[in-house]
Amino acid sequence: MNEVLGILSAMLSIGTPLMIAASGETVLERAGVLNIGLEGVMLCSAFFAFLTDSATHSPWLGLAAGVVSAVLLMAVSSAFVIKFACDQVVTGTAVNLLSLGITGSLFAFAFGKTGKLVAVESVPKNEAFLSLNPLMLLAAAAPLFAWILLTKTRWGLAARGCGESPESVSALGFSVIKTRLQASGFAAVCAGIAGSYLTIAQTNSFAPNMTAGIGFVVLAAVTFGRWSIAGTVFASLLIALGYGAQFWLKAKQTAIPYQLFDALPYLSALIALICAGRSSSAPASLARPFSPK
Amino acid sequence: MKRQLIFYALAAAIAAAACLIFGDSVSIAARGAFADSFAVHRTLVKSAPLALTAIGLIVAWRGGMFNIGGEGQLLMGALACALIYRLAPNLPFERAALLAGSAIAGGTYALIAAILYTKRGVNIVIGTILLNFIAMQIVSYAVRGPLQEPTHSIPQTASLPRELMFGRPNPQTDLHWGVLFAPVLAVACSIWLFRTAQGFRIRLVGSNFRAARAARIDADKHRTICMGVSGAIIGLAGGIEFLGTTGYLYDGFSPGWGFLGIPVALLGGLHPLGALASAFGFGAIIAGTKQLEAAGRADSSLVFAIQGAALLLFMLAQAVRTSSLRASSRIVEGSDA
Amino acid sequence: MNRVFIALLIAASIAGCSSNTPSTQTQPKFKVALLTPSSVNDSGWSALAYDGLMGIKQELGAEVNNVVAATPQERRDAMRSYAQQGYNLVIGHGYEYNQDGIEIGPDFPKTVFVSSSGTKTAPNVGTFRFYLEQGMYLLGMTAAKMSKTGVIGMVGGPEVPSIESTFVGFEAGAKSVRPDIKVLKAYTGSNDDVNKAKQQTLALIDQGADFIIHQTNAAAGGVFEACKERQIFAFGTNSDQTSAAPDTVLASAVIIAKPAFIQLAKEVRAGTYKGEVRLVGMDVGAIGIAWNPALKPRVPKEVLDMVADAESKMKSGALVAPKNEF
Repeated sequence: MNEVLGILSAMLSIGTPLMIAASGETVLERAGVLNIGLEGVMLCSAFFAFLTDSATHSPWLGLAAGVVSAVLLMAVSSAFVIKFACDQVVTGTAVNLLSLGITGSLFAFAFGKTGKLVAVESVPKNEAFLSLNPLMLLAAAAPLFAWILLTKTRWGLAARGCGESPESVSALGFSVIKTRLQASGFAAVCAGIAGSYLTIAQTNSFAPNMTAGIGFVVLAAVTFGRWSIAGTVFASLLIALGYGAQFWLKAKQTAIPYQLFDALPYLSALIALICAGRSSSAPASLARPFSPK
Repeated sequence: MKRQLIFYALAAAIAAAACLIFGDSVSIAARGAFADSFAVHRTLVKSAPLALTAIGLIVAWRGGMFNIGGEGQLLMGALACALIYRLAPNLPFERAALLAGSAIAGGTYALIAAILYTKRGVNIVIGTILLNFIAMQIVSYAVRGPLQEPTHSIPQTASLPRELMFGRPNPQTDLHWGVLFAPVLAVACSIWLFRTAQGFRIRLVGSNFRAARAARIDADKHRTICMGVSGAIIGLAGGIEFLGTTGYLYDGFSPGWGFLGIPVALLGGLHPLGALASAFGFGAIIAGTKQLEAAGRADSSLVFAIQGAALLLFMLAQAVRTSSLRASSRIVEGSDA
Repeated sequence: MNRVFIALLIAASIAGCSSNTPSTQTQPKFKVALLTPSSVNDSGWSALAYDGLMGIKQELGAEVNNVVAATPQERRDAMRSYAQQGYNLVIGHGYEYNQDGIEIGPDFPKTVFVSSSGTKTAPNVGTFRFYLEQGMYLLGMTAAKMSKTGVIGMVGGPEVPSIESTFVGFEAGAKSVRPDIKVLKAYTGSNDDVNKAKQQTLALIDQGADFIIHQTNAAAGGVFEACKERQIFAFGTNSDQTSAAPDTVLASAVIIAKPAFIQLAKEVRAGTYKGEVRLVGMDVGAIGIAWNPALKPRVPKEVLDMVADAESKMKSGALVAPKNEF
């Protein structure tokens, strides 16, 4: 029983940032933008949330700082990708490098050249049962909000149009650039919350490059969920469950190659795409720059 | 024209500002990349895998396949070398066998993405990204499991004997004769893409899908061919790194050559010869910024930030010089047709 | 055409910058370089070597420099360029630098290449191994004596021989005082991923572990956070990590690099250093146990006495902590 709760707790803890970030990323990808720089944006917000929390002892101010920093970094990235129609993969790679460099340098600047293990104030947690915390509510709210946004509003229709055929949307008199920028803003807020969660709720500490690939796991979750909000939530939870099982199996001293588990998000995303085949609902204009004529 | 003038003014202003503020650092970096034969060798040896990866990517992109799976294909090439050396260390033409194996492995790995695209409609960008991460985990497993060196203590494969590796003009640097593959393949691919009928058909499929269909060109066949060749070249890059500089495989064998190959290819104007030049430029940036770190001017984290900022500047330059941007976006369009 | 123009522009600006660089020739100084596998801001393995380097700078007035060199190419590149610049001592902080030192050493006889761990030597190539297993052994004894559940856990980052060897020391220490103790081991595969370290620690605690030791470098915060949530004790490694979690870290196995580094540098400067495999442990004060002063009263006197006794035996060589060779 204890062990089942343990796996469940790991699943919730890992699934929360995945679901929040994936909700934003799904909206953005449906609008046609592939955010390879998600990893960097999450690392950036994780750091600034940590830094603010350690200075003010308020995790909530930390959360605010994390979200603001994510929005600022995404604004730079969006200027390149959406406004100047730059290649999305290269820009994302640059954002990741930039964020790794800036957070690593500022960490050393703030806590000494050799870094320092610092524990910061956590959001209130129920440590007795599953480490439940209020940010987990956002993991339920973010997908719901994204779903309503995408499927029930006029804006969502336009955004999905931008992902399928930006030319037609443009011809109908909508601004593709504006719509994509708005989607990017939403994705930035989500990524900011998810990144901050890592430091102010999950671990209460920071290490350089601590995101260690979670941004790419989110991209895999969106793909695995085949670009639908419900699918993405399901994929995030399944991936998180996989991690929980991995930790449990290792703790039981089972000799399993952990690389298999680390490859699982990507493998399952690929398999989901293969099974979906031509009916795969990848936005037709995903990762395709659009420049209005 | 007016935008271009503005761009040049901007570039000149940025360069001048950079020199004024970071003059000393810029010159340290420049000297680290070019000052003496050691520095030039350092730059060249770093440019080679970048150039080969970029050439490989260009071949695929010209055919409308937006392959960004360079990292995975390169790792598979290196993995094949380690595997062949483990299974058959004494073949008559061992070095050729290792290189051939790396090309075949890289090509096969790229073909997975190509087949998923042509048969199951899996988006090529997404498919190749996912395969990158799977390849990294395969390597991580192989160097700790079946391919680990004989004493089973260090997570890497057995080292190649010195005589199997590429020769070096100066044993005091890492420069090896394998880098010559880059110019040779650049010329060969230029001729193939721009001077042969098959190359023309591939470019037509990539740039104008409807015209290709009207000309009764089998698009899927040409897409498969260019992906296979692309992966083979990138796999070979892995094999050349293996035979030239390390001699063994380990976690983190590629410090992101596959990803960095993308801006190299774009800046090279999506032409194999252009990629050769831009790879040299990027090799210089990597060698130079590393030297900046060694001179105590920037710590290792800041070097990442400098490289990221340099990439963004290149992208900005790319965006203003719209000509090659249009070429790339056309190719991306083709892939979704 | 445009591209040529840009290239010229850049080249001209670089040339302009280079020309006004002052090139001053000064008296040759004693120069020491440090290569680390990760950035020195990791609050752990690389950070402690940087502290040692700073010790050399202060004590010997040496000119020091450091760079991250992770891939074989970077390692050899950095070693060669420091040697070409006349550095007298190049310290590679990890076993992986040993092989590169052997390869490059003969080309630069005036430079001494020392790696932390490794087994190969040459006249100017040696290794310098911190015997952290001693500290781990003592912590293993403490954990085994104090454990109520009879289960203790070890959390590692990447599965590498240096970490594995310290775990061997910990386990041997635990079994030496309580042969039936169950010692669990799990690797997360990452030195950075704080949450993986936390979740893996929680999973070990769910299996009954009530003492946790870690080798997760910068990700240690996750281990401590997990132990804090479940209110059990954790041990720190490499440096005194009490301040990271004052209510959780009972003691740390620490590497004190400064004196050993300074000693090494003095020998190199005096020209007396010979390539050798040197084990630096408790006898020279390079390894120690740092108790958390606030929690030390909660350790039974007999356990403290036992550890102190074992420590003095280790210093005299009567007690040998096991370690792996790699």
